[in-house]
Order: sequence, then structure tokens, then C-alpha cells
Amino acid sequence: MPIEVTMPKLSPTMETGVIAQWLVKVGDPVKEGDPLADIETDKATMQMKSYDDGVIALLDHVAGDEVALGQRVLVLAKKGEDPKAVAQAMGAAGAAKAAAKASSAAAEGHTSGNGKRPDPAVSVAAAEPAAVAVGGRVKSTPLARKIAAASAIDVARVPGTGPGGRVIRKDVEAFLAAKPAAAPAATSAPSSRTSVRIPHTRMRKTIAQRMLAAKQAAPEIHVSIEPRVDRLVAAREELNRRLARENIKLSLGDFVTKAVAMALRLHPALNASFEPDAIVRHGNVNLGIAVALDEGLIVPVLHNADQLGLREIRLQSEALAKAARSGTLTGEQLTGGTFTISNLGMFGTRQFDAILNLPEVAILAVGAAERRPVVEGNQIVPGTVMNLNLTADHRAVDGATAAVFLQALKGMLEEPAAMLL
Amino acid sequence: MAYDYDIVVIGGGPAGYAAAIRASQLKAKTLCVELDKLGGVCLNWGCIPTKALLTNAHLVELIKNHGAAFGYGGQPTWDFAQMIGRSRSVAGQLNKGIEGLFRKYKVAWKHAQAKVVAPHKVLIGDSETVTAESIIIATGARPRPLPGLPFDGKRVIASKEAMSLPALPQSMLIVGGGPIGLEFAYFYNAIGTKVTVVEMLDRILPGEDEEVSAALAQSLAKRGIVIHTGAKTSQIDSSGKTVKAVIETKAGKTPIEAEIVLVAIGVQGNVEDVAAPELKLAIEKGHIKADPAKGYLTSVPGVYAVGDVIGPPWLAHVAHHEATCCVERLLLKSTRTIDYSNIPGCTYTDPGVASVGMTEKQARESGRQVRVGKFPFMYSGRALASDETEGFVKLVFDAQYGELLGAHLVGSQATELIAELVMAKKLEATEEEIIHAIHPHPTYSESVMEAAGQGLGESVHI
Repeated sequence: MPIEVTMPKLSPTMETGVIAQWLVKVGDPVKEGDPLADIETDKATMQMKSYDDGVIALLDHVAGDEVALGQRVLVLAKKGEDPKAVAQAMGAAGAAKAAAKASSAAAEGHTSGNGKRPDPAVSVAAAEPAAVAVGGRVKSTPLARKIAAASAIDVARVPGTGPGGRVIRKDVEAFLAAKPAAAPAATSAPSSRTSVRIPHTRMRKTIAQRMLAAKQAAPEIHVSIEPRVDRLVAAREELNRRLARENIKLSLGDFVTKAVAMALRLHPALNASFEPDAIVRHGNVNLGIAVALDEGLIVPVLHNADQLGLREIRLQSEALAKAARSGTLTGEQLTGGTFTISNLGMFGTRQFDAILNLPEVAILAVGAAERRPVVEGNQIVPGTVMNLNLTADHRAVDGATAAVFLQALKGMLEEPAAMLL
Repeated sequence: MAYDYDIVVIGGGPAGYAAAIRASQLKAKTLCVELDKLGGVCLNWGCIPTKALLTNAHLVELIKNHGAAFGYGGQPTWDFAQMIGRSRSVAGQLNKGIEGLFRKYKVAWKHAQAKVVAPHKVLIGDSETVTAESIIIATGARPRPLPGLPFDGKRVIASKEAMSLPALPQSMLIVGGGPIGLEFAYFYNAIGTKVTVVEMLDRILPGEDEEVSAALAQSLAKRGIVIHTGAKTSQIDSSGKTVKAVIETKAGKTPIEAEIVLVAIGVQGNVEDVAAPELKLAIEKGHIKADPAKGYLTSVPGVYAVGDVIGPPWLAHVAHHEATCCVERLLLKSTRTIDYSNIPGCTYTDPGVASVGMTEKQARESGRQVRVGKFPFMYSGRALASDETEGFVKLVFDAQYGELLGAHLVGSQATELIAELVMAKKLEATEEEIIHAIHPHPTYSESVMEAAGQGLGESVHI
């Protein structure tokens, strides 16, 4: 029997995946573990791997197609089976559907709107069907490919505006021109004050959908506390002196991560998920660390953070942030989080609210540590203070529970030695 | 407000009839108004009837110049009236064809003068007024006279008269060395008229690649056509039985006498009386101003213009595409536009000339590194077999990526061969694709492949 490969669940929250790029074409032999396609999920782009050996008999979709979980994406002919016969038997319905979709999308590009006939003198933005056809072939002209190759860019990344979404010379040139010019163009705004329309990326859609869902689903409370972190700053300086020869530099954020992990172990009510019929207190402490990207944000996960020393926390956080920026996070690095930390301290932000990362029941917003006048006894003295603002899902976490957790956190940050307990 | 029609097209030539049919195909209620005959100049007095004559001339020439080589020993006689008659009947046949297409696509049409009298309002004939959401003006162009020398239809003629003369003239002076002038020069020379061509610029077909102009000038001169370039025709006196004139060149003045003077120095748009003056339809250099980026919108809202009436390149195939682009945008079918850098041009002499894109000089002046591939038909087995070895295929490539910048052909099959190169350019093929696309052997078309190969030093046959 041929194997019908379906859209796998590559992230815990994904419901659909977009085939960013086929890595195989019809007729290719594949072995277990071979990459089949790059799949864009709501979190990141990940490789879909083969769980079987066989020959690709049929691809149901073209790159750019959004496919629901469990829907068939390709058919694998097993040893002894004729891929062509398999393709015929299993039908190319998906491919035909994909083509029909592309052409109807193109047609819609011209007719959609408010029903009023637009002024034909105004140019109608043409729909941009994906430039990749069944089998992963990128529709592009020879000249476009040569220019792309000379500039070492993958022509598949260039949006095509030619017939049927073909990538033409102009597209590659525009792509090349846009890349380095993007940053300066933003600063030289006065010369062009026209509005720009930025179509939603998949990441933007996900952020919008998840943030709205959290605000709608969870009655949230905000509880904040302001630990005085002079000792922590001193400890950090001391440790960084020791770590200097390893070229490791701990940030205050790393201490917060460590302290949060330890405090969560003591207060498992915050290290939990809210499910319709139960609250699940997680056994592991897996901290999501929000990473800002040019195009949005992503939350890679530091697994078993409570078992990591500061050195590991620093190294692993750095590696995750780097992978997030280069889009190379693995599925594991994006899943399993039990609590999230969002830190805007590096921008000088004193205090902010974070929105829950459902189904987790709490998220901590970390502000900048800053020198402020503090009352010590009856004296006003200079001290370093930071704001920690916890957002909690009141369906699962009550105010006092949140406050007690923050109290513990404050204790650890004010007296770093407490973390050793 | 409901209009009588979605689209009214004024003019039934290659632009007008294409616009009307396309609009009808797209379910728009369409009316086409033509003053003369459907098909316009192209079909009735231009492209098609001249090709009938040129095929005739080619036949005469084949027998006269190549007959002996092919074993023909007779003394052929030719009937000029039959040549003209056949040409007219071909035009008539096609004209009926357009009427048939109009019936097929249910395009309403009227044989009348039409004029835009107000936005969305067209006066048809003297009294009938119709309204339309959009109006497309496609009234075409007509030959431009020499300053101070109006056409008289007898001694001083334009192309229309030149393809329907009552008798074969003994001699003809042709003013203008562009495609139209040269095609008539070739025709009349081949059938026995003594032809002199005067071109003001320094070469014939000044829009073509320099090598092409030179090669064609040589071929035509060999056939007996006298060509003066960098020359002015002055002191034209058409009052007598023959026309007397003086050809002025740097070398001096030469008097000339001819039975007929054919003026083929260009065309001017039929812009008179197409729109009421108060509409202030913008006219520039004798042509209606229309913006291709806005679907050929004129200065008057709701009024569009396409084809020869909006100016160069005055080609039927461009008019046709302008019309369909205009209509498709109006009816929200597409937003496609014309790439004016990829328009082929043809001259149907023998050898013929066809080209697309940049000349070698233009390519070099654009600052690019240029690579030229050239294959003379002399090396083509097929051309040799037909005893038609004049000319060459010349391809101009950007050296960096092998982009095809221009193609310039002179040869008996040039006008048929150019389409491949237009397609190559449209699809952004590079010289590699042209070399590696297998061309059938033996054909003239192989020379295109060989020219690309010659550019890279890979051609085996040269």
C-alpha cells in the first residue's frame, strides 16, 4: 500500500501549515528521516521529514498552499510499487484543486472589493500567485535565475509578478534593491511620505490571532512588585569577572530567569495550564523567553530552566535568540513552555503589561533595573530597583497566589544567595 | 445613470475592431462606429494589400533573377492590372472577415462618422446621440504630406494611391526611405519602374541597426533602385506631365524627373473632429495624448485612445495590443500593459528586414557590456538551397547574463523569423536557451540558433 503523508503537527498551536518550499519532487526516492518540505507554521519554518522509505508518487499541493493538519500533502510509493500507477490511482485531485485555487485567486485580485467598479485608470494591484508549481519547480525566467544566482539569492524567495506568478528580471532586481535599501529608506522618510501597505505575514497573523484570543478568553489580573537589586547587581559583577575568560557575560535578565525558575518550583500554581476541565500543574519548568524580531516576535523555550545554572541559562538563551533570528528554531525549541518571560528592560522601559501566552496561566513582564531614590530606615538613599509585572489568568490564579509568587521572586532577586536553597 | 452602451469604439481598424470584439467577448455592450471600411488602413490600404503586391513582386523577381539558375528559360509577361486587382480582392476578402467576426461576437456597428460631444456622449452621423460609460477613440492616422506639396492623387501620391494606380508608371520618385517607401520601391522596381528613393537621414531604415541599413541598401541598389541618403527633395514641380524636382545632397544638386512622386515621410493622427473643442481633448504633435499606465486614458475622463492616433510606433500589431489592454482594464479583466521595448518591426522588401529591441549602437550607448552574435544566411544550407543567401541574423546580448537585448535580421525569411526572438525576449531567455533549443534542420530558423552560438564562439557552422 502506498503511504499517504499528511500535514504533521509541528507546533503545539498550529492548525494549518503553509508549504514554504518543496524539498522533493515527483520521482525522488526518499529514506526515513529525509526532509520533504519546509513548512511554515504559526511559530516558525520547520522541516517536515519522511517517516518511511519510498518514492514520491504525487505532491498534492504547490508551495504557498495552506494545508490543514491531517490533510494529505503527498503520496509515497513503497518498494515494488510503480510511482506512476500510484499517482494515477491515488488521484491528482489535490494538484488540480491547487491550480484552480491559484487561478481563482488571480481573478479575485481584480474583482474583489466593495462591488463598486473601481476607476480603471487607477492601477489594480495584481494578485501574486506563488511562483512555484507542482513538483517544487519555481516559475522563473532564465534571466531572472541567472541574476539571482549571480547575487546568491534563492529565486524561490522572490515574489513573482510575471504571468502566473513567474519571477521575472524586474522582480529579482526589485528584491535585490529592496534588501539593503530597506533600513536607510526608513530613516530617509521625509522624501517620501506615502503610506505603505504591508500584507500580513504568517507570523503577524498568528500574533494577532493569539493576542486577541488571550484577551478574549482570559480574565487577567496584573500584580507588580519592585525588588531592590543592588546585591544582584554586585553578584552579577562578581560572577562576570569570573566568567570573563570564558567570554560569557551574564545579564540581569539571566538572573531573573533563574529566579523565576526557582520561584516556580516553589509555587507550582503559576507553572500551569488552564484547560476546560482542569488546571494542569506542570512537572517541568520550561521557560518561554520572548525574542523580538524585525517581523514580529517569537517565544523559544528554555527547557528545565530550574535545573540550569546561570552559565547554561546564558548560553542557551543566547543560542535560542540566535536561532530565532535566523529562523532555524526546531520544533522542540518552540514547544513545551510552561511560563513566559518578556523583558523590555534593555530599552529602558520601567514597567509594562504582557498579554498571556495561553494556555500558560502567567507571564512576567520585566522592566529595566534603574537607580532610584529608595527609603532605607528613615533615610533616602540611592538604590537599584526593577519592576516585575505579572499578568495572570484569574481563572486559574488568584491575586494572593500571584502576590505570594512575586514575593518569593522578590526575595530571590534581593538576596541572590536564596536561589541556592 | 444608465448608459446606452458600456463601450463605444470610434474607428474599426486594427485597434478599433480588436477593442470592440474583445469588449464583446467580455460581455460588455459595445458599439463600433466606422466611417469607411472595417479593418481600417491596415487591412484595406496598408499591411495586407501591400503584402499581396510584394509577394507578386517577389515572384517576378524570382523568375527574373533566379529563373535561369532554376532552369527556367521562358520570357515571362506580367499584367499590372491583375496584380492590383488581386491585391484589392485580398483586402476585400479580409474586410468581409471582420464583418463576420463582428457577427460572431455580436458587436453592433455603424457605418458613420462619430464624434465625442460631451463626456460619455457620442454623436453618430448628423443627429443620433448615444451615451457610453467609456469611449475609445481609434481613428488611426493618415499619410503626412511634404510641407508645401499637398497630395493630388495623380502625380503626388501617398501609399493608398500607390497600391491602386491605373497603369504601371515608367518612373517613380519616392520621398522617404522608411519601411513604406522602401516596400513600394521594391515592388515597382521589381515590376519594371525606374525607382529613385530620397531619404533625409544618413541611411535608409534609420530606425534599424546600422548594419541592417547598410545590407539592405546594398541589396536594393543591386536590384537597380537608386538611393540618395542625407538628401533633400526640393523645387518639386508637379504642374506638368511629369514631376520635376531637385535632389540636394552634400555632393550637390541633381535634377530629377519622374512620372509620379510617392511621399512616404510618415503619418499624422486623425485627430480632427473626433471630439468637441470644449472637451479640450489634449493633442500633442498631431496625436491624441493617452497614458498607457492608466489604460490609455486621454485628458477627458471616460475617453480613451489607442492605436495610430496616439502616435508612434504606428504599427497594427501595437494598435491591436493597446486596444485589448485598454479594454481588459476597463472591464477589470487584467491590468496588463505593453512592453514598448519588445515590439517587432518589419519591412517586407526582399530581402526583408525584421528587428526587435535595441540596436547594437543603442545597447553600447546604454553602457552595457555587449556581445554580438551574427550568422550570415550565406552559411545556411537552407538559404543556399533556395538561392536566397542575402542577409544575416544579428543578435545583441548583454555580456553579463546573456540577456537578449536586440535582434536584427535581413533576409528573405526575416519577417517570419523574428517572432521567435520576440518570444525569447518576452520570456527573458538568454543566449544559452536560444543555442540549446533544438532548431529543425534544414531551416532558415537554424540561423537564429547559430547566431546565438556565434556570439559565444560555440557555433559549429561558422
